[in-house]
Amino acid sequence: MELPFNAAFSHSFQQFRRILALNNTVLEKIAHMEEALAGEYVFDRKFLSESVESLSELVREVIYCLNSLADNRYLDLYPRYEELADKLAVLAAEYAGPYDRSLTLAYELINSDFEELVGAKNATLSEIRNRLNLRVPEGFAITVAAYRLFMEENDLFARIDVICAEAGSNRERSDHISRLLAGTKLPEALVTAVEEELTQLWQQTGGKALLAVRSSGVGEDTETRSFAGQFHSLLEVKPELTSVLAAYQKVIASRFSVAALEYLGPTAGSREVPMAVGVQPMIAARVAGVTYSRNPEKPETNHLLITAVRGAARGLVDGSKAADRYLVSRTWPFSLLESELVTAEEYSNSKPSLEILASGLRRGSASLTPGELAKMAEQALLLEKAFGETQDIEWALTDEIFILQSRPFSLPAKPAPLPGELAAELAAATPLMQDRGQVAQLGIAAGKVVHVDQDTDPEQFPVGAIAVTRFPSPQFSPIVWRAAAIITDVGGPTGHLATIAREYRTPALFGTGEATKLLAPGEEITIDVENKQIYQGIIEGLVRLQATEEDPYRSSKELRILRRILRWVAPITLVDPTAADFRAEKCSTFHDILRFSHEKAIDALIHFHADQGGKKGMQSRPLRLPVPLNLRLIDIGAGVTPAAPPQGELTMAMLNSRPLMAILQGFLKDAEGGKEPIPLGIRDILSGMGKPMALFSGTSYPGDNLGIIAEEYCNLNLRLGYHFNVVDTYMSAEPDNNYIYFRFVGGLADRNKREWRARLIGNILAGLYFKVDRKGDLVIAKAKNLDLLQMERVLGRLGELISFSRQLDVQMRDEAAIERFFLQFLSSLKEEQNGERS
Amino acid sequence: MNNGMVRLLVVDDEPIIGKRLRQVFSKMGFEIETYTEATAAMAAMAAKPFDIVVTDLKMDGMDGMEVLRRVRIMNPHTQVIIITGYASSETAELARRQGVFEFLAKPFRLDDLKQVIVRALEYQRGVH
Repeated sequence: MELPFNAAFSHSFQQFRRILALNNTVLEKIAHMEEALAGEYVFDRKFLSESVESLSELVREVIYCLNSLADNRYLDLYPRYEELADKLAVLAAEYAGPYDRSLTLAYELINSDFEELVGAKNATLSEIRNRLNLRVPEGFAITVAAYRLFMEENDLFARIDVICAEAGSNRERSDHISRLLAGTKLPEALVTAVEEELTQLWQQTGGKALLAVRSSGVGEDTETRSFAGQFHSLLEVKPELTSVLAAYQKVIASRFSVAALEYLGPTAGSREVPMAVGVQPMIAARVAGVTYSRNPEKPETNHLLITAVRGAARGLVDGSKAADRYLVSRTWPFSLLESELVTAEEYSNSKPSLEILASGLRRGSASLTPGELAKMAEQALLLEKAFGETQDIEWALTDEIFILQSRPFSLPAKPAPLPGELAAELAAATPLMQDRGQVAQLGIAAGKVVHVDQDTDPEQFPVGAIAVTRFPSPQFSPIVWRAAAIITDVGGPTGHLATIAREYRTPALFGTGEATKLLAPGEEITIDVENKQIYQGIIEGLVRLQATEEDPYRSSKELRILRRILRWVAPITLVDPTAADFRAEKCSTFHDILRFSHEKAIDALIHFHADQGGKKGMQSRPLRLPVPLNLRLIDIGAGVTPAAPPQGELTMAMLNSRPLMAILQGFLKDAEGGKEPIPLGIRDILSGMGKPMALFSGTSYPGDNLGIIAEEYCNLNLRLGYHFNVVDTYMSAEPDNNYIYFRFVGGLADRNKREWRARLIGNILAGLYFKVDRKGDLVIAKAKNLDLLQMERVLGRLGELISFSRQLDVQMRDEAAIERFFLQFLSSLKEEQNGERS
Repeated sequence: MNNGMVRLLVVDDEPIIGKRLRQVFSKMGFEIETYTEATAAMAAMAAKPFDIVVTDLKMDGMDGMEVLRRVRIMNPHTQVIIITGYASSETAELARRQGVFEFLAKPFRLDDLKQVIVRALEYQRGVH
């Protein structure tokens, strides 16, 4: 196919087409990754790293093409891109990137993505500190890089492997290794790094205090291995460099303790489970203890267990000290259900004071107040949600609660409710809402309904309640991790809030249409997202099912990584090209960069002639249409009749581009004049479009659409919601040269509708000679080698379809009418085709 | 098949594959065992045969081709499905000769694997 290009424009246009092609590839990849997250694809780590690598390459090329097209006006995209690409590379490789070789790292610099470098305990504590904003001791990690340096400088890996291969008991091996370690020297660089961190720590905490030096193994505290108690932590270490270094070496040695060797088994090499270490000031606790986010003895109940002792909790953790036990409801406001207190006499240092209150609880004997218990319960639920599993949380109470450690604990396997029992309970339950909405995050939750809107203060949202809201506004992010579930009227699973819900595993059902109407504030409900069911009241069987279901897949590392990766890839946050913050530096995801680039590429072509000194034939000109569609055309060769004036607005009569005329004919087709029995006529639709602002305000965005035309060619970019839908077609007397390429994405409706729409459009296109590739709500259709008549007809139909699908974004009351339209459109196509064949 | 319960063996050195397939196929009523090590998987196979084996191709130690060979010797009734990111045409040809039931490229659609397994079971019923 030869297009009559002007040389200067030719280059720009090639860049533009490249951007369109890249756009598709990236959108397909994103859709693919979302499908993987949803569980449709079975993937492995290689998929993660390859996806990130290829996405990054493609997006970089998009930016390159845009700048090449637009005289480098958008170089600001590069720093945003670099930042995102770096972040993604770090996530995919599961290492800390720029900090990769750091020997020590302060807690403020790290989060849970750093686990491979700082070990589980440090990573978790930093995550709690930096993202959940709960209080943890300040401190720093001595990293795995430091450990490896130490081991390698002293050739310890090899020497230990030799020892482990020797005959004898683990006791003998462990002793041998201890002696070996005792005779080694710490690397200079490590000593200096620890010294600097200590100085900073003391500055931060206002002076020297006794320290805790804790093990933080990589892979420690995971669902498959819990090394609780195998590795040492040293408490009350003197705040001196030499003491800290000595403690460090002892903690390292515990990697090869008898218990650890037994636990890891004879096949584990010395390089496995590398040790990082955490250094923190001791907390002078008034009370200390452990919270189990579910009562380990009765995990199926809706209770959590808090145990507490006065003073430091060391005795409690090793089980030697009797503790107060509190059973607290897991539901806001977290009432105390039962307490079992150690009599005051058992505390040698406290006076007996057993005054009995009207409530039956003893004042003075309890180590924790109901307010403190409620606060701890709230924190336990937040931690459980943030880490996705029941947690066992070590804490210390001064005038505030410090989290010392939080790790998953395996519940004793309890039978799930019998299917019969559950079925009976469900049959008796009152459904409040069924089969509505789109799954943003799977799960089951029960709790009180709390309506949320712009004015809700996230801090006041009761933890464990069910948030019901009209829009999934990103400003509700802090609520997502406090809520047991979130239900919205509008929206779908590709938005920002859905990503947050997946990250915190908050069961989320989006785009239900009328949850805010059907679910009354204060009402207790149970939601089963997978089955899209909302019941009145607490359905114990479902709650139990959720609590007892063991699912290592859901908590697997790969899913976690994919979820995090998608967070920087998939959501669109730049939606309105007319908004002041529609700027390169505001792009916060790869999708934003794509969206921005496509918009600006079109902009660059529209203004091409201005940049080029108004070269004849390359300027963009508005086309007057009987509908409020701002379409500008660039004629690259005989797309406009010679009789047309050289400048200014074009009319339909001046067009000479065959494919564009065919599309517009369909686009503007009057249904009543047509043969098809279309109940919701195109005329009705167009009359709906007759009020321009009704269509464009709030449902679409103002701005120009662009067509690049020649006599036999048309490239059309029409805005639909967030996206441009693209037709690229060549139409000549020679069928071998002819093709139609059509891309349709999204729209503004909720995801449910969009997917349904995409499916129908896919079906319709498949009935029109197209080879259709559909992923989520992205449809890419290609047709080739059609003759002139076929081209004309298919493009006309495509025009009709585009016209109609644009209209779909308008909030239409009569869903059934839309569906009818589509189905009849489809059947009329079939009739037409049958007629053709016979 | 054993008492109507289909026995499914999954061998992949990436644990996530086993986790995911366990999650899905145990709910579908399969008796599923998953291994990240082919040697252990073969021991399990020797202890009690499986109807279907889904194995990764590239693994350290014993690879998927060896799994295929051994399984076909141990129990010719068992159908083997190989999942892989990369299979050369020579490997594919060799696997065909050794009686592989199907190749699936990673990452694969869950539905595709389900369909292949259903076909493998139908094939088994037809043959045996």
